[in-house]
Amino acid sequence: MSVKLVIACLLVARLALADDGSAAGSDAGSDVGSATGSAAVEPPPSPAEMAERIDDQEQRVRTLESKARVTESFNEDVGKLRWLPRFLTVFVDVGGFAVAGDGSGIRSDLGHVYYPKYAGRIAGQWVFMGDPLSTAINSLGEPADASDSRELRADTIHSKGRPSLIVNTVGLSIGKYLGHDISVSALAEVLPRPGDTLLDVPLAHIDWRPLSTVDLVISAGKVDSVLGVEYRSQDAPRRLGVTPSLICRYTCGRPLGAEARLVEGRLSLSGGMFASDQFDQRFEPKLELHASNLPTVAGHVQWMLPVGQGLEVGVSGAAGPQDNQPSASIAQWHVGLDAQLRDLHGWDAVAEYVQGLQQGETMSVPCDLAPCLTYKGAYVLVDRRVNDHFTPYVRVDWRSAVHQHGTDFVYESHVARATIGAHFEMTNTILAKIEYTFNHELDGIPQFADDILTTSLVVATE
Amino acid sequence: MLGWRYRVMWRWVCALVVVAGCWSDDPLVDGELTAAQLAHFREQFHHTAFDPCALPPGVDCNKAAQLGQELFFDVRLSDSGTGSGSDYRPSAGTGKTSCATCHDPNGYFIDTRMPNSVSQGQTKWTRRNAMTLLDLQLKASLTNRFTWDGSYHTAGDVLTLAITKAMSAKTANVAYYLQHEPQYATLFWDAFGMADPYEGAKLAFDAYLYRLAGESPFDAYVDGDDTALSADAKRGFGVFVGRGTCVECHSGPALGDFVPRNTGVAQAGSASDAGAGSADGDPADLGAFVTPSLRNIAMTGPYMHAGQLASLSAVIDFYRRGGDATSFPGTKDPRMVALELTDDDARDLEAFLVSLTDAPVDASLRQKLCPAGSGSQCP
Repeated sequence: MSVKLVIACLLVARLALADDGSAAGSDAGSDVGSATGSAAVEPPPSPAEMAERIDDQEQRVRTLESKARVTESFNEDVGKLRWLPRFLTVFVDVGGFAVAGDGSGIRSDLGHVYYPKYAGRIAGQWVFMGDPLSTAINSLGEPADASDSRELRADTIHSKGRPSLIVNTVGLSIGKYLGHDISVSALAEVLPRPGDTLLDVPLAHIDWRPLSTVDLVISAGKVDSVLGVEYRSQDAPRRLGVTPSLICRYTCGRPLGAEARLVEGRLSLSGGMFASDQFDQRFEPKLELHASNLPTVAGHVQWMLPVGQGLEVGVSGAAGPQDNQPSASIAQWHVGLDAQLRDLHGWDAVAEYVQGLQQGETMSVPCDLAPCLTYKGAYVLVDRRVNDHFTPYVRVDWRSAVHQHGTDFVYESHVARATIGAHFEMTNTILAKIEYTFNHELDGIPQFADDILTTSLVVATE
Repeated sequence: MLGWRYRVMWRWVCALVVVAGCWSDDPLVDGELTAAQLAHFREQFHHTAFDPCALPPGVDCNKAAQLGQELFFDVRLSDSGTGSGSDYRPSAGTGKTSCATCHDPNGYFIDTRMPNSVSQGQTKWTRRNAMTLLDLQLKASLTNRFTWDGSYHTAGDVLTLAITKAMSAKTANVAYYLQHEPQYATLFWDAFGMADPYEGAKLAFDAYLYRLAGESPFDAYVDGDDTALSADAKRGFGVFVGRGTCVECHSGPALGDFVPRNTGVAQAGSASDAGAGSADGDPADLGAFVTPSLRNIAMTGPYMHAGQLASLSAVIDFYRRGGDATSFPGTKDPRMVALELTDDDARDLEAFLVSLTDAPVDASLRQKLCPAGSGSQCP
């Protein structure tokens, strides 16, 4: 009881001060002397009122203590997550799509009408106009149909233009902290498809954090790309939209190699040595190790500017021998610029530009010994978080590339797209997305039906 | 009440939709070709009607054609003979082969005697398949590569080849009978007046053979009649110019560009035939044979330079598998790769090839002429 009385006295004094402050705050500019005089005439609370106030304050204290315990527990969880003691997440991505035409993003230049320069060298059927991945319908970038494409041999969906439902991915993400600042993590994906169900392990790496004072991670295995920024959110649970940009194929690959990532204040650095380029190998035709005699070196430098919650601008590049070639003198290189703006008055934006070359090798017909590839591309993605659940977005992307392999094929890919979509975060573990993409062929290529409506419902475990 | 940010955003989205809506798609024709591509192919495969009397000035075309037709059926051109120059004398009754023997007028002018064999000449089987003589004027307007190896540059050169090789005779037979057969002498005089007999004979053959042409359903389609081809044949046309990649070599009004290519056809029999490589001495042409016209192809089997393939379906299967793997001289054209054609594609393609069949030429051109006083050579 004595304790209550002491508390009561303290509370009286505290409330009086609070009232003064409140009055001063709510009546700015009023005379201080009159406020003091007003407090002097106020009668003291009765013992009953005091007891009621004490009970009320005790309840508040209990509530705050409870919240403090929750916060402390949460902080402990966050601390544990940072060191990956163990995690296991399962996600399922299902969707529906409809793609105009035959479902593919390419047409043959029959008769060499549009690209007569290939007449007599490459069959018109194998002079492909458009982009074979422009009709992607899911986060993996799978086109609804590969049509007669000669480079993209795995026609995993083969819709022939028919709308359908699809289980895009069943994913399992696992990780464990092993001690000594070492952890392992992996991502395995099952893709139920017509014919054979596909199993892919896009990520599997060991991470080492050698310094406690610096945010430095060294990883080895099948690791994330270091080029650009789109790779960071390419899997269905993390991707804002449904489909990747037209340039994701060059920056979202997960090569075999070793890399280091350092974050120091506003500066982020990442770089590594890899057995191959950082193209998305899901679309590469040969079932072999994508490697050459020397490693490919790649890096990314990023600086954060104080705009919104941060405007990160970066530059990245890669260079090395061309994949799958015996001669290290056949080179490939890639450069890119990126910018990512977070939460400027509720707006987010990402923009990237890439350019690159695979040199190829010629014996008698251009690029017959090794395929040649030149490419440029860019995208801008803008979204607005309207509330905690609804985020509409717009993306414009473009790609211009020529990919030739002897008399086997040439792709003249010159495409611009516009995508509008909406992202619904229904709960922490359930996402729904819908988007429509307009494809527009450039460089005199005839316009053909290849627009896409696609949806995705992603459900993940905690 | 939407805030200004929302208004800006939705105006932006609406503008984007409007812009994207303006990106209209070009409709495809028959599900395969753009309008520009169809127009391109119709122009490429179109051929204007020829004047079969496009002969040198002063030549009586009809008389020349009549003479040519009579010579075409005359087995005396394959007579053996003795002497030379003005002393040459054929041995009457020894000849058994006329042009019509290996170019059957009632069989689309190919050798129909053995259904799956190469042409039979006067004394032995030749190494190569007898080509049809239909649409010769079209061919002559497009190329100077005649025969399977392309080494003969005019139809007249081929006449010499036929008489001296397939008929195992001498060209002197022609001059002899033109001078000593009254009917021929009269026609020759009426047609050519004073002229070298053998050169006149070449023109006479041209005048006759140029009349051996017709129109196919495909020609009508090329000329704009969309109903001329069946649905199967239209799809087959799409395969022909598309996934089949046939049009890469079988291009132009003749549906053949007459360029020698090595398609990897296994050698027939034990005798090696180097094709154009042996004719022009170019190692790159080793095993290469002229890409023939596909007009009337459905009626002119067996196929390939030595009749290796008996049917159109066998030919299509040959190309589906990318040609033979071995047993041919030289190096296969790199474009000869396995084609990803379905069975339906193959059937449609065959339907298209059938649509390349001309209506038979007029019966009067397919028979031996028997004018009054023609003598023992008429039945």
